[in-house]
Amino acid sequence: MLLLLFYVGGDRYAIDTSQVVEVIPRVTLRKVYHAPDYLSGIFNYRGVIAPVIDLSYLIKGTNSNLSFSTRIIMVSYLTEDNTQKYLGLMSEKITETLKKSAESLVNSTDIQDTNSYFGEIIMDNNGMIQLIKLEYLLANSQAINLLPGDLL
Amino acid sequence: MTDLTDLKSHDCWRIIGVEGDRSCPELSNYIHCHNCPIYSAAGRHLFDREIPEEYVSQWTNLFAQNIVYDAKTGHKIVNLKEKNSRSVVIFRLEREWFALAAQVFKEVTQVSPLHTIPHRSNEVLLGVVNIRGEILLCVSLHNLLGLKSAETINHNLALSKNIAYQRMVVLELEQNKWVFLVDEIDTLQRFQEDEFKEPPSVIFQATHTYTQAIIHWQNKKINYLDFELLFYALNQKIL
Repeated sequence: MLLLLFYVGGDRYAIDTSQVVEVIPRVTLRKVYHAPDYLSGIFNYRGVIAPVIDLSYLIKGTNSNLSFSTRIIMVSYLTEDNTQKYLGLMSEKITETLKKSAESLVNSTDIQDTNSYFGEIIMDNNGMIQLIKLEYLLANSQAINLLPGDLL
Repeated sequence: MTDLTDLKSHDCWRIIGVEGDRSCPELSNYIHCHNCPIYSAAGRHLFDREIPEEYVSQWTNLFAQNIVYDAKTGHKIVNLKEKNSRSVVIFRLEREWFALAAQVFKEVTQVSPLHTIPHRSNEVLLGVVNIRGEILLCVSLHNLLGLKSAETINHNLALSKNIAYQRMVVLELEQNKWVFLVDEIDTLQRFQEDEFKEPPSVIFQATHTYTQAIIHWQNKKINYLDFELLFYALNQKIL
């Protein structure tokens, strides 16, 4: 599987690219009130309104920095009525991808709750990379009524 | 990943790498610094610069445009406004501007020498030309459309202009290829369906008209030619 790497603080995380539509630069976001703090805002994504979640805030509690390498990963998903929805995930230092086989993933259930969005860990020469489970992120966002429609 | 902070202070490729004395022990591994992870990490470090405000707003505007992508193929689907549009190539013959559907254009190239065919060449069929090793029939659209030569009007101006801009155009429709000379090629342009205006009825009713519509573009009136009729007429007249 092809993984997209990003940083939160000094740690590397990865996301499976199968649901990623594109990676776009930072855009101006409209603030949404009465929503969780990790929701950075919403923006006009090619004619549809897409919410953007700040992964740095979600994981570490501080906003992503304002640099060129801070980008928004656009992921798409289908709702129950078969309409396509988009969710943006903002994070820092999105400059690399990685190809890894599913066997090289190490289960991290000993240290983390299986129901969280933290997934398996990959080890390489430069340390560890933790996978982010997109489906949990989507389900979480769904639970707080962030995203309209029901997940498939 | 190699720690980026210490990369700022030293650029090893200039000191021990290919731009320096080549004493880096890793060089036998990577052969060139371009292949070295330290080098690429330093390159990526450039992305950690502060982002300018107008860059953000520029991208915000760009994504606000209504362009939809196909979910499966990822191809761009033109938005609704553009759905009923046609792209045309605009060119000049003598003093008149013409347009033809871009889909029939195969190639625009430099003018190649023309070889006449004995007993077959006439005012429409000029002869054969060699385009990339392919021998193709060359026709005169000037004569087919009955355009008068501009030479008499302003010989010097027309001459200098024509030499600078003349091109040969290859058209193809269903493996039917024709080459003709144009005096100038302008652009490939997309027009909405409602920009194709009905030609005046006088032209429309004439038997030998190839003008399907008139387009207004940059203060010019452009004859949009019916390419199907054009191909049909060429086949009838010549073959």
